[in-house]
Order: sequence, then C-alpha cells, then structure tokens
Amino acid sequence: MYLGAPTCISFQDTFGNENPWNSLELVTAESQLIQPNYKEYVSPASLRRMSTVLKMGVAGGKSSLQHSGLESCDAITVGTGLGCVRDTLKFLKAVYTDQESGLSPTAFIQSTHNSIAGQLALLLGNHGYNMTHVQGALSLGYALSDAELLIGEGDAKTVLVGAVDEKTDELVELLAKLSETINYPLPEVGEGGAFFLASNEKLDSSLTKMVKLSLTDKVSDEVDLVLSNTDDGFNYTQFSGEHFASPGFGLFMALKAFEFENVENSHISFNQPKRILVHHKLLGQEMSILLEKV
Amino acid sequence: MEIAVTGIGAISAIGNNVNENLSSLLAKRTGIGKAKLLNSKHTETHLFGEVKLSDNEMKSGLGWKSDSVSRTTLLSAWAMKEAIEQAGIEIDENVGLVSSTSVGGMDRSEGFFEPYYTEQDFTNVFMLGTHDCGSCTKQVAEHFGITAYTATISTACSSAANAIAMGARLLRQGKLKRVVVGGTDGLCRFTTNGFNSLMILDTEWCKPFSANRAGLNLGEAAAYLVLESKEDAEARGAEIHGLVTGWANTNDAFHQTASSPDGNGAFMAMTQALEKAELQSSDISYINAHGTGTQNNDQSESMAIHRVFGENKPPISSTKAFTGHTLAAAGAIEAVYSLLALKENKLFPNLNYQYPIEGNDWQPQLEVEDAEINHVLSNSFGFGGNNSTVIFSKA
Repeated sequence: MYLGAPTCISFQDTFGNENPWNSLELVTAESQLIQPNYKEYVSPASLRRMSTVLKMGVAGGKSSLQHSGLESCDAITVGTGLGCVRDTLKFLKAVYTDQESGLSPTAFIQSTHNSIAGQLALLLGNHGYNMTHVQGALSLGYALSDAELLIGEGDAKTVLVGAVDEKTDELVELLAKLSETINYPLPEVGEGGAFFLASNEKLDSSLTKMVKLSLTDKVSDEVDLVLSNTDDGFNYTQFSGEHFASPGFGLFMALKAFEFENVENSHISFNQPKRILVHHKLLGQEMSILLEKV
Repeated sequence: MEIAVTGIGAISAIGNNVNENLSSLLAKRTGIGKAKLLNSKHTETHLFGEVKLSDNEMKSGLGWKSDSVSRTTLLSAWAMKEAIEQAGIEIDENVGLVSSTSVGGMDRSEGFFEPYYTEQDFTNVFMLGTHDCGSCTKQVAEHFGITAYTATISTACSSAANAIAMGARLLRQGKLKRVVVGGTDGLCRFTTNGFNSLMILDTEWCKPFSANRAGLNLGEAAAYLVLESKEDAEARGAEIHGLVTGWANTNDAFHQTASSPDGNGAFMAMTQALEKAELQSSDISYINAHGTGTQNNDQSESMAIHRVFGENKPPISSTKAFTGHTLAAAGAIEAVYSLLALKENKLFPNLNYQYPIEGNDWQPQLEVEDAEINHVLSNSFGFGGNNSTVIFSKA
C-alpha cells in the first residue's frame, strides 16, 4: 500500500508547504495549534457548530484529498482515541447541571466518534466505505490496517486515512488528576490531526510504501531513521505533545522526511533516508509502521 | 474463502444467553419495560430494554476480579465467553478480536461525572481509567488472553455490523485464523439523555414500521460471533451456524443524524452486500431490518428496501421491539437472530405493529412462522450517515 498527500494540523507549522522539519519548536503547556483558515474548507455556518476535532478532521481530510490530485476517494477510515471530547463533556455537564431536562441535542449529535468521518463524507459527498476506529494510540494503526484490508480485498483503490484527537482545558485537568491517582506520569498533552491518501498503486503524489504494519510491537529491521514517542529513536512527541492521534504526526513527519530528504538543524539531521520506522508505545499498547521511500 | 460462524454468544433484555434469547423470540416475549438498574430520572417515564443481570452478578459469573470495569465491558465479556466456549476454540496468537461500542465505559465514568459536575468533587476520577472505547476492548481481550489484532469500531448504531465485516476481511486476507467479532453497549445516562433530547424516544413500546410509530426504546446488549474459514471449521468438526457471505458499508452523506428520504445509503449498502455475496435480491429469505421505530429510519429504510426488492419482498421484521435499540451492539445481536433464523428455519415477528406506513405495499412479519431460510439480510444504520448490511447464508 502506498501513502502520500500527507496533511497535518499540529502545534508545529505543518499545514503549509514548507519543510516542517526546519521549524520545529519544543512543545510546552502553552503551545497552541497552528490552524489553517477553516473557511477554505467548510462553510461558515457549519464551522460555527464544529469543535476543534471536527474542524481538524474535515479540513485535514479535504486538504489531503486535494494534495493527492484525485477528484474523490473510494473509502474513508479515521482513527480517534477519544473522539469528540469537547461535545461529550459539554453534553455530560448539561445532563448533570440541568438535571436531565431541557437539553439541546446539538452537543450529543456531534459527540459520537464517527461524526468526524461522517462529516468528512458529508463534506466530500462521499458515499463509500466509512469507518471509525477507536483504539487509544493504535487508532491510526487500525485505520491504516483497515485501508490495507480494503485495498487487499480489491474493495477500494484509494482510501483517505487519518487520525485526529482534541484536547480541552477540562480534559487536561481531568487527565492530570487521573494520572496522579493512578501514579502514571502525565506527558505534555497535545492534540492534532493528520491525513494521508493510501492507494493500491503508486500515484504521482505517493511518497512511501508501507512495508509492514505491526499493531503489537516494534518491527526490528534495518532503517535509516526511527521516529518514536520513546527515546528509542527521534522522539517526535516533543513537538506534537502526547495524544492518541500523535502517531499521525509521526507518520506525517516520516513522509516529509522522504519528501525533503536532507535536514540538518539543532534537533535532528538526516540525509536521504530510504527506510523509516514510526513507532509508538503508550498505556500498554504498541505499534510500528515500516516505510520505504518510493 | 467461505467465512463460517462457529460460535455465537448473546446477552440482551430478552435473555442472558443465546437459548434464552431464542425462547423469548419464539414466545413473542419482549424484554422492554421499567428499568431497574439504570440511574436516570427518565426511567420514571420511559421504557428500556435492560439486561436483567447486575454488574456484580456478571462479575461473579465471569470470575472477574477487578472493580475497574464498566457495564459495557462486562456485557461484552459475558457474551464473548459464551461464543468462545461454544466454538470450542483455544485462544492463541492467531485469534483476533474486532469489537465495537458507541459509549465505551461511559456508564462507569458517570460515577465520576455526577459528583464532579454537581459538587466539583474529583474523588472518583479514577473511574475515567475505563472511559475510552478502546480500553473496554483491551480489557476483554486481556481477560480471554487475546494478544493479536484487537480493534474497536465506533460507527454509532452500525458498529457491530462493521465489526463482523471486518472480521471476515481479516480472515480472507490471511491476517488471522480465527476472529471474535461483535459489539457491546451498556445503558447509561449519556445516551438516554442524548436520544431524549433528540425527541426520538417512545414512552411506550416502540412500534417499528407502524404508521403510528413514535420513536425508539433504548436497550443494552452484547453479542459476539466466532468466525473462521469454512475449511478450518469442517476440518476440526465444528458446528457451523451459518456463513457470512455478504457485507457492505456505505455513507448516506446526507445529514449528520437523519437518513435521506429515499434511503440512498441503505440502498447502496443492501445492493453492494448482495453483490459481495453474489446473490440476487430474490435469493433473500428474510430481512432482519434496522427498524428502530423512529419516523425517519423506518420511512427511509422502507424506501430503500422497496428500491432493492421491488414488489417481491421477502418477509421483513425488526426485532427492536424485543430488545430495544442496543446501539453499537444492535448489528451483533441481530446477527445472532439472523443465524438463529437460518438454523431454526423460523421467521421472527415484528411486535407492536398496527398500521402500514403510507406508501408501503407490505407489512412486517407479525407471527413466528416456519419457513425455509437460506439467506438472511441484516441492516444496521447509524448517525454520521453510516449504513451497513451483512448477509448470512446456510452452510
């Protein structure tokens, strides 16, 4: 399976056409998403109701499809660990503070995990296979696996694959309290979304071939560069923050490494990498994606 | 490769196992009534398809040690245990799990959110450790020793149908030798209030496909199937409940919650599933419809069925008036009913039906009836435009 048209919304300048490897800045608690002008992707009326995760999902997905050079895709698979957190918490709060009466359904409607892929289908007018995977930090991995199955089965030639998660101040507060209680050190919490166009054959926009996807461990193979959320490689979560969709940032940076080839700065240097491993390990789950430049 | 179902497990408002579910279906006995376990003020005014076992009863039945577990997860483990035992398989590194849920551990999270939102009390924050959908699947996988592929699908009310299809695809692609597929959702305040705020809950028994239908009843359930290749199943002499022969997942791309009036997504899902199964619409012996009892779904699904089947519709029923709408689990519990229909050669009735929907030239199956059943088509549709169809066939 080939991957291309990487699109990413993150704390870094990843959405534009510049080489994101050259403008990396370490994430702090004050880091903010660098967001595109969403009006280029969604009508202002729809935009008003959308939470950050939905905006990132629809803009990220639509932009990736545009970059791929395709008019449409056969399928959409999206991974999200926590889905629509803002709307979920908003509706929950209303349930308790308004004592289960007179609630507006808007937040509930937008709280379902599949509203991200659903809104994307709606926006693209896409009637194809539409799937949402929720498996913590492996959500992107399962979305990729699903795309690989569709392509393998011949049910799709092109699949828009992505992962997206949002944070809110309240979520960060809850995670901080939770991590204290269970004695699990909380990393810097991030948010973001990344999309890719997966295809059965090499397109002009393809940058890499996914050689191997493991949803259980770290593939051991000779590679030129390891991007990981551990110190067992270049730790990309220093720049994305940790969140369930952060492997999307790692995969995006891998594709950008194939695209821009040579990078030398205070954080990292590499020269024409041919094979890259993206690795992620969090809360007892581990995955890795072995990529080869095309 | 032909995909065989060699184990089935189910827990719903009409029974704690497959046999109890079957008995209730044959006796036309609904499980929808006053909720005794759900903590919501809507239990005073609304009816629910509540599973009769408490969390503690399920914990002791399962030998579940940890208290860090949601009802959604317990239901899942309960039904999965039956499916795995019945299939008689050993769990090894070639067995995967594709589960599905829409709310995950929300029922347990609410134990935190109530004191938190009413009194800013963080005491129960540890309960959020089982909140996310993926963690529910992970817990169940660990309970049964499943270490390979462990996925969680969340496409609202079509979730479990997609899990079944994904399992079939994993086998066909040689990624796994066996796979447990299905879905689970426990009742909670979040979904109760969500559907209530949408004003699509009937306060009486739901009336699927009846002109005077007034909404759905929420339910809870879990159901799982064990899938493996027919060749493997036959080689080990396993009982085959049926084959998974067709599936499709489409998007209506019409509205975030509502289905298109002409049922485009549903039409495409049924048509594509028939193509996948290499069947004609006339081959279908019974349709287990999504049939929630809402104005919108039943109208749209009726239109789509008419577009696919024309004037030669097979018997059709929705079993939601037995179980309530069990959200992510619906596709799995109805898969079990579809397989029972195949095995028993029975049609299951659509309860509470009174008048035909205007424009419908059919009425649903109203009685239990013997029939030769070779292929069953099961629909599951959800928010987000998600429409899925699965077809089960006699082995």
